[in-house]
Amino acid sequence: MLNPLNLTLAQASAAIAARELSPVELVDVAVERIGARESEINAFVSVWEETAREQALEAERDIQHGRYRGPLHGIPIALKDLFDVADQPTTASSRVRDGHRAEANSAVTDALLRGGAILLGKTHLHEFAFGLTTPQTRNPLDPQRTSGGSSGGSAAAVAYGGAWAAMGTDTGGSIRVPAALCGLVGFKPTYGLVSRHGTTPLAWSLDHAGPMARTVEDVGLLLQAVMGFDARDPASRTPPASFGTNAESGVQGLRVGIPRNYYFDHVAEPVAAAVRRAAAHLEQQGAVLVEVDIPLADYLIPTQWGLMVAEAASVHAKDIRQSASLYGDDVRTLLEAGQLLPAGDYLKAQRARHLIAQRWGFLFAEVDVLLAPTVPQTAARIEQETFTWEDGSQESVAEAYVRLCAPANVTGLPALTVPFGKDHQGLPIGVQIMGKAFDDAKVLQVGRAIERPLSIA
Amino acid sequence: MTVQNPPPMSAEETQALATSLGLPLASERAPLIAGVLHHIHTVIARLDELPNDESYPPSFAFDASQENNPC
Repeated sequence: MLNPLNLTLAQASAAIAARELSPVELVDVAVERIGARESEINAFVSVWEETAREQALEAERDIQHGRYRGPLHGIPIALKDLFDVADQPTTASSRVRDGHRAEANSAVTDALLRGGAILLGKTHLHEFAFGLTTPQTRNPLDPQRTSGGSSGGSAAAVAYGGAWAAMGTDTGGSIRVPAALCGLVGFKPTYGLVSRHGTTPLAWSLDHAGPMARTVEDVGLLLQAVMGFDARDPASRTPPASFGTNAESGVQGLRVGIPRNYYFDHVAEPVAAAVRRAAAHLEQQGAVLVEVDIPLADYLIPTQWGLMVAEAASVHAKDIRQSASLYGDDVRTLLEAGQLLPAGDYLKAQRARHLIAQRWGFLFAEVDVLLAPTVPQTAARIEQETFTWEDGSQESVAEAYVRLCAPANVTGLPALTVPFGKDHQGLPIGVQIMGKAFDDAKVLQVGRAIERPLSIA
Repeated sequence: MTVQNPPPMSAEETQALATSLGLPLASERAPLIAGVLHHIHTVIARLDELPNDESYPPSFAFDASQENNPC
């Protein structure tokens, strides 16, 4: 008999299509897991048990009558509480949003419903996605540690079996960081590939929506469902006609860039070692490893800050003047400071982004993908504020977690995190694969190669 | 271009700037905000080292597919 908890989204989907598994069973299992873990983990803002069961029954009927809609049909999925669902509050995990009620679905919500997905509920985030720790949520793998952020609730829910996948957003690593810390796959697609219409913004030119799940195949299935041009999002772009992941495609002859600088500075040794092993694993499958220099590395984080702080300050310009006391201390402080940032700083960052993106374009003429750590250290303890590196220097947990993810936000390039090994404490390590703009399928292809079991010599 | 790090604003200057921009800022928060603003401003000031001449305009219509194509 199938144990639904052991199934990936793709496996559950195949079992549903073959009528070996009912969507109602999946919802029952997810609700049971939520009941068992939620008091300790606090991944969900709201769980829609009743409507999820209704959706599951409807999916079951549709499938029995030959109206199968595709791989998401009957699959319980969670949404970060930044995505609007009609008639439901979008809390952004903030008291500022008390009384909010969305008038319509976000583009992502509509796409999931069109695909027949079951919306199980909304998940917690670092307030307004402006942070990397989601302090109200714990890591299911070790509740004394952070789940990461800002999509920490989405990662935690999938990690403990409360959903088969979740949607998150990523402005400086907010999908990839929690996915890496919770042992999941997380994908930030190319900027413009997934519509943000109906999604509460943090910083318009850095915000991306993307999937989180247990396997690369699963995030690929979710991506296929939610990507596509949407005129309501000014950044939206039409995906290439050839977009599509081929499960059988390998990495033979693919040029994998291994950074000589930046991505291995101030990185814990078990994390660096895992990336080296992942590189060797790809090489064993026929990939060609190419050492590369990351261009303008010293200017990546200054550019990220100049864009993010200024844009977030603009998004919150009204609320921070009217309701500052309702924000959490950390977010309030950044938003208040952001109100006072000179416009010249924002323009400086805009111009730097132009230069950085061009230089990264040259870099991707030499390689097909880049391989690097997702985060420099595994999940920090809940109260931990800093990491201390081998040279004795200290770095705040938030700054460390954003450091290796932000470049893909500044450049808009696709970036995937895949779990690969564990550190000495048994905590999962994420390796990151970045690719060319709209070459998302290749990034996923390399991710699948990393997932393949290591061959025994 | 040489990086120019202006000295941090005082709490009083920060509060006056906030007031001029319609941002209510409690006096006890002014020193904190002054410090954070200075930190952010100093980080961004590193970008003064880049050759930001007229060949690198801002990217108001950011398009990942265009921006990442080598010229």
